[in-house]
Amino acid sequence: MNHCHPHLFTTLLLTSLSVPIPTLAATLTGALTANSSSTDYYHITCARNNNGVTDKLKISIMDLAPNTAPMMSAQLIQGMLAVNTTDPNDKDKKYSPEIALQRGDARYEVRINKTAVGIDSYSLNYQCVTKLGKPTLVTVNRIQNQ
Amino acid sequence: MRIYSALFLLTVSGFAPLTWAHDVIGSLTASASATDYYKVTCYDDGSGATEHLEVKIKDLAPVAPPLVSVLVSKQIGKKFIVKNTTDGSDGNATYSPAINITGGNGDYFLGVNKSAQPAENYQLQLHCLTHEGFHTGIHDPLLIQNQ
Repeated sequence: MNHCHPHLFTTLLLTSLSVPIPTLAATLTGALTANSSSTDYYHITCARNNNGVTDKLKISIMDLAPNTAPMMSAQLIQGMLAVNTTDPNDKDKKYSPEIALQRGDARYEVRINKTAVGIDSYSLNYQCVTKLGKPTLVTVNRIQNQ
Repeated sequence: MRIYSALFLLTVSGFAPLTWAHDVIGSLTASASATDYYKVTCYDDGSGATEHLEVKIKDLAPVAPPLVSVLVSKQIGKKFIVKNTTDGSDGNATYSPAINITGGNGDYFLGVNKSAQPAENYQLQLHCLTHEGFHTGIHDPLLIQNQ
């Protein structure tokens, strides 16, 4: 993840300082290097707040510029469950279909990959919510940056 | 999803042979979010300790728009290694580029996904290898999630 969207500076700065601060929902931007095997890896932790306990983590991904061949995907994993979403269109400004895992207050894994050689960048949207859809606390740790 | 492997056939036949590699054939249902999830364990079978797991994937028939990828992760203490590979061309007999995850003996976790609808089939090829490049032990891949 080599580029930082300006309005996300605070979140990413804190992450880079290994001082993750819980928020209610967020978007982060990242980039994958040219190698086709490049993979970014995050731990996203959901925790209860005044809205209640977490029901699920929801994520979606948007393939950002450059408009090139690789498609961008995100795998969401928790325990023995895994689910995937891919942004099929690099030229629009729409996120991929939203995916979620209902594993409550927990640490979830998110792996970002692309389908081919070439630098590409992405925006990852993530939110922990209660059964009623109210946001709970979410903390992100970037584990691997390729 | 059905798994075919020589080891599997021998195992259900009551044999417990040494094995050095695995081919796993699987399928993903139509949903774009479908993901198969495996645990693969490398061990020293006397050939030497594992240095890395080599993984590649092949997109099988039908020839359809989705690209099939596999993401592999390994935790070593507090450190994580994650890599992925995608078969960029459906309808040929060629595997994706191989990826090597240098994680030693132990459990590796593989997530197989595709980039779109509809259903797709795939073949994984897995090798646990020593530092010298010799095959060492690999247990039957455990299918944790089948979608």
